[in-house]
Amino acid sequence: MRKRSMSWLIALGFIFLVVGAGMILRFWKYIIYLPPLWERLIALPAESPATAYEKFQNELLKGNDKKSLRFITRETREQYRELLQDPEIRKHYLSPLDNLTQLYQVDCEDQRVCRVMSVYTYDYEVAEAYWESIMGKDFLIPAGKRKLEMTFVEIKKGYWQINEF
Amino acid sequence: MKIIKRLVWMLLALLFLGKVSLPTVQAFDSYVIHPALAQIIALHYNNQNPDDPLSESEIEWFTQGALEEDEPSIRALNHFFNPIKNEGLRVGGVLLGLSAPEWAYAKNQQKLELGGDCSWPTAITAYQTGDKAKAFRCLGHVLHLMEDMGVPAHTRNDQHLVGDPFEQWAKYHNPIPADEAISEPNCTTGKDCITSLGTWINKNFVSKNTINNIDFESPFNNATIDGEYLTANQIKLAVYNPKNRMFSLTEEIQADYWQKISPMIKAYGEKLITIFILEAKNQPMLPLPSQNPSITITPSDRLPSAITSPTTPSNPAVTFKSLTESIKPPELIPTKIPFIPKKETSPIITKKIIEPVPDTYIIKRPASTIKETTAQFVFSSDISTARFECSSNIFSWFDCGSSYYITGLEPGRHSLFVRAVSEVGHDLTPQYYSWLVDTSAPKTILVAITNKFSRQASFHFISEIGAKFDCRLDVEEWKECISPFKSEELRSGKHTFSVRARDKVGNIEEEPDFYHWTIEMARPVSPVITFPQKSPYYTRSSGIVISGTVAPSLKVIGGDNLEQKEVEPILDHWSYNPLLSIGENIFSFRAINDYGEESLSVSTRIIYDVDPPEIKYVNFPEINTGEDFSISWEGNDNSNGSLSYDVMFRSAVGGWQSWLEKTTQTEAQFINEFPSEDIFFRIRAIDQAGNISDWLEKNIIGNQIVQTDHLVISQIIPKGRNGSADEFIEIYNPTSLPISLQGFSIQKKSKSEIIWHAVVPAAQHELAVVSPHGYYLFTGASYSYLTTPDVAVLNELLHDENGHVRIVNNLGLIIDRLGYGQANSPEINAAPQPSLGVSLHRKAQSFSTALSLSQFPNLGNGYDSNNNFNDFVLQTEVLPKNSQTVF
Repeated sequence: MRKRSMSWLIALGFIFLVVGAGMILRFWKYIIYLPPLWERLIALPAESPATAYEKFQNELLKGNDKKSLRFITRETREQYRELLQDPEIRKHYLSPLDNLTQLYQVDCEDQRVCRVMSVYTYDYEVAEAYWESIMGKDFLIPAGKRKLEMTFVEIKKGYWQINEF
Repeated sequence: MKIIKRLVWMLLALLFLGKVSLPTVQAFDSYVIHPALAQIIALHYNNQNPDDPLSESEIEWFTQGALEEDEPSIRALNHFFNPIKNEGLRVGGVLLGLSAPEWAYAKNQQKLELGGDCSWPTAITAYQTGDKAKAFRCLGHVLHLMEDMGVPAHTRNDQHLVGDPFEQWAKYHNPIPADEAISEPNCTTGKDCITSLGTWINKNFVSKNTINNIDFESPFNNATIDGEYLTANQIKLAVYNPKNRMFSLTEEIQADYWQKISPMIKAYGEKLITIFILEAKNQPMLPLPSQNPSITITPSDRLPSAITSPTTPSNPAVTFKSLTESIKPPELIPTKIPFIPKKETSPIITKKIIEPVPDTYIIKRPASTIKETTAQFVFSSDISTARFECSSNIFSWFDCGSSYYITGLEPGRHSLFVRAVSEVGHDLTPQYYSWLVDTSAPKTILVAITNKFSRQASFHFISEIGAKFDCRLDVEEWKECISPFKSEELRSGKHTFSVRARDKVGNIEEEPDFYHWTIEMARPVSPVITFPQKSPYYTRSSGIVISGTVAPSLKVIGGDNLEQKEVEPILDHWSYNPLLSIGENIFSFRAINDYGEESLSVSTRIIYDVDPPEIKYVNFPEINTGEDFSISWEGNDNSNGSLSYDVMFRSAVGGWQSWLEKTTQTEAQFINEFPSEDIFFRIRAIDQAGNISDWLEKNIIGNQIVQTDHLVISQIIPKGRNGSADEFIEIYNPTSLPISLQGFSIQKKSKSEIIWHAVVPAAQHELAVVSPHGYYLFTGASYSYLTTPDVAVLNELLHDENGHVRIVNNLGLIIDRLGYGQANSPEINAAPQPSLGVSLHRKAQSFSTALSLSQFPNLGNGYDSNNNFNDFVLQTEVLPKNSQTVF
């Protein structure tokens, strides 16, 4: 009787192994979506893009970089983590935004595979012209006011993150 | 067993979650851009191939296929093409899918993938077997792959899981493709076309995450700086962001990309259909003009030098090798289908060649978003006789005239296709216009961040996309604003913030969202008045400087109740110079801070008084009796302020001496050092303003009374309190010697009588002697007073009215005489007529009064000026005195 039940278990285990292996072979490409899925599960709430930015800035002000970076999308987080090590850039991000205006928002409507993206602009002023060297190219950054853009992504309802700013 | 079950369920749950939470790796939006591009490409193809256009059904299948290729989304992993490595999407070193050109032909792999096989070979086979629906649907699938090549992220291994800015921009704007392609597509197979377009995009454009990626040297290596733009081949690649020292693909850049890329997609799409039709019909592809087919894979060679990079990628050998291999033209499949000649002999076609189908132009149209429920279109054509047909879906057309007016539009998106129709046929590329009717007012959601102990408040608000906002703080005018709105520093009190949204077409939110809150900050400290220090303050001057102190940074507002003005402080001091009005002036001052908050008021009362006070004596003895006495006085001032007094005195022969100075007393006891002299007093009042009254002088008569030297009639009463018979005659000896009444006679007469009659029989007073300063009393029949009479008679003593009485001595000389009323023989003037119960009382001194006579009876009644009128007063306090009276 015991031997019989054991053999059933072995058979079922074998079936699951085969089915599991088949599913892995069939769906392994979905692995690309696991990091965003995890990100979605651990996201911090921010009901609007403006709130996301405000929360980011508040945490940065407190020196809580780790938490502030959680309001930035996973895709660009590392990039901004490095940028914020630069005191000059950090100062820029701690400054208030001038004339923040929503440019447009791309909604998902009835699309199932989609993320809401919102684009904002704000005024930024370069006080004096200066030269900047990037990747071996010298840029003359002219003085004056210009419009810069910020993009936000709603990774799930009520959970906005900064994508680029 | 349970563990295995749980594992299976967890795996399924994970897959489910992954499915519903997928971010996008798609390119252009499946529901917006892909089908729109497919439709436009099909219509464009028809315009270029009027002899053999696609039918409406074929366009519909084609469009459907372009829409389906992203479903399910896992297929999108095969929509990438990296021409540098000739491969698909690679993440973390793992290839996640085939490259788009390979996928287009990967019949077997597609069969295994979700969504099934809809590859190019399948499309060809379907066409050749007569299944045109499947053929064009699968052609749409392949077109989708080629359209994806128009997204730089798809040609630069940029997985863009959170979405690509260019895709999102295109989805939001849904722009019409530009007309002029930079170059003609040069490809002979479907795969070739996808590869060619992807390579061109890769070399000339960048995606958000690969602007200066070392894997893709072009176009960054060839880029130059043009102002704040990174530019290569006259294309603005990106804009420099000085804030984060990175490049950005802004909306301006996306629009520029679309201008360059969209006509290329259109041209390549049209070419794809041409190749498909030829291949499906087993017709040979016409050779490319002046090109060796073997090198059609190098799009850079075919593109104008201004667009392509003048330099090849850093590893040209690898790049070109892979590209060459990847886009070899497929071998033509030997045809079993007979060649079908073109319908060149068709008379209709011939006519079309001579007289082409009309072109359609939309001359007038509504804006892209309107709030009106009507829309007016005006159409035109290059053929004047053309009529116009309209459609909302390109499948059912109706005549609409050159001017088409639509009413009763429901809110929502509307589309209109219009084509000109002539005798030759209809325009094969109908004009299309889509617009949105938006009649609903936007709604704002307001989130306020306020604190009653903070002067600043911030407000976050959102509304529909593109909406603008008007804000209003308290009762200010509405002003355009953006979120977040940070108020200025506000004053304490209740505040209201309101916000309303205006959408793009001018619909205004009817019931603005608002928020009430209260700021409770501490009041400013009140100013201090340092001068005048007391209130009320009296002054005789019309000008005054009111001064004080105030806390730093506060202003002082002050004045009277008619005018309040700012008093500019100097450091922490302030002063105010008002012109005073006669009487009371009240000034109040309060501090005010920069927010307009006011402290409690402090006030001062200033009395401007130029009138001296009045002064009078209240109680002042007339006679110096030799004893100490008190005097009292009373001052009066129009300012009602307290008064002080100076009081001086002097004797009859001395100079003035100060008695009281600046006293506020109104009564004082005088220590009498001059018992028998006249004492003179003078007094003046001084008010709070310093006004001084004139001296008021008065004296007390000394006790040296000069009296006559004979008996006098000192008091009579013709009609006592009991009437006519209640009478008495009192006589007084003012001398210091006794006087005998022997031989004396008391006589009377009326006004009309000539003869005097004795009223008291002489016998009754023959023996009487009147003591020095003593009295003797004769009374009538009904005498009622308490003093015992010395002689009482039964007959009438006096005439009631207008009578006379006299004393005649023993020598017959008239010693004294009194006439009263209208007596005709008085001493000079008659004394007043006494009424019932009132006596005629002789004075002690010339200034004696009835009161003084009562108060100081010891002064006697010896004043005799021989003028009855001056010598007597009417006395109501009747007190007869007799020979026993002693003072």
